[in-house]
Amino acid sequence: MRKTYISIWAALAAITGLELAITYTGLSKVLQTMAIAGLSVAKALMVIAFFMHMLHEPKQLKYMALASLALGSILAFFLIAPHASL
Amino acid sequence: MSAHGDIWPPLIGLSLGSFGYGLLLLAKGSMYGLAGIFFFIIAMGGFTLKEIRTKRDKDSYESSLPIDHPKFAMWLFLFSEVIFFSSLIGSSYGIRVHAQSWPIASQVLNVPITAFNTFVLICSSLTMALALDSVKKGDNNGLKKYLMLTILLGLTFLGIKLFEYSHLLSEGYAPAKSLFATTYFVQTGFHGLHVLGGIIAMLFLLGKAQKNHFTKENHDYVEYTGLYWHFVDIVWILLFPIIYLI
Repeated sequence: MRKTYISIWAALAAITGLELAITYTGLSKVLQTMAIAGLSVAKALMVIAFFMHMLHEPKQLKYMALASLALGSILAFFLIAPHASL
Repeated sequence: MSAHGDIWPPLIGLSLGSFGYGLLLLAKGSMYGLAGIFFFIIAMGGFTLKEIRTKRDKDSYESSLPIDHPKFAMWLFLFSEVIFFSSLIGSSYGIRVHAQSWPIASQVLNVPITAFNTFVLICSSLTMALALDSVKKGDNNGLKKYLMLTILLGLTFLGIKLFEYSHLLSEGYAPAKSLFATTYFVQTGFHGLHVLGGIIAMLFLLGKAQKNHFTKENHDYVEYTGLYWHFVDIVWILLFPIIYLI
């Protein structure tokens, strides 16, 4: 268990460094944003799966978590998307 | 009975939603809002009547979910927090997308020190996970050690945040000065309050751990607080790139 936690921690720290490094590359803003967004979501999923033990939870809870993440994403999308109104 | 396929939970959810939307419509001067509020009253009234009429014994409240109820409650709370932070971050980013000008984060904010702060919070998630791991093995000293480390890391995070705030304020970025400053302070401020809440909860845990309250079998509160703490970490994992890097 400890080994898993420490590897996840190391991966999280490394990805954070990578994200910071990406902003110093000459990549276009769109590419940077996409790469950083993907890496951040990966980090969040790692914390949920391993630190919060979602991998070992019953499937009902997994579905509920998915539903709340989906609802949150839809909400954020409509708040961000231009000229979107509810 | 409230088993599978019960119509009431989604119905009450919908009626609550239409109640809120109805209030918004009323505030905008549209009488159609009354329909939403009417729907809410009918749904709640119907549910109350049904509950009064249904005779049930204690066992029928047994959950069909194979998970402890307090833990489930913590997860439900976290799901509601997902919605809270989605709307907070979403509306802030929406404001940014529609704003006429927006400062480049790296020119206004201290990105390297905040990247370090992100690392601090990631470390605190590790120590929290190790605290739970310790108590699961019955190691109370390990629990106390890792809880203290987690609290210290949380305080470090808040300290660096306050340093950043004072620096921004001294440069004239008061919360009411610009849209950028407003969204920055609201988002990081709400996250900071969550960190503070987590620290207070862990101080309670530490107090109980000092009295050897937690054992191999009884450590639920450590687990629930851990869930909350990891969630606060996740919020920062997403907030950091959104505010500072993108």
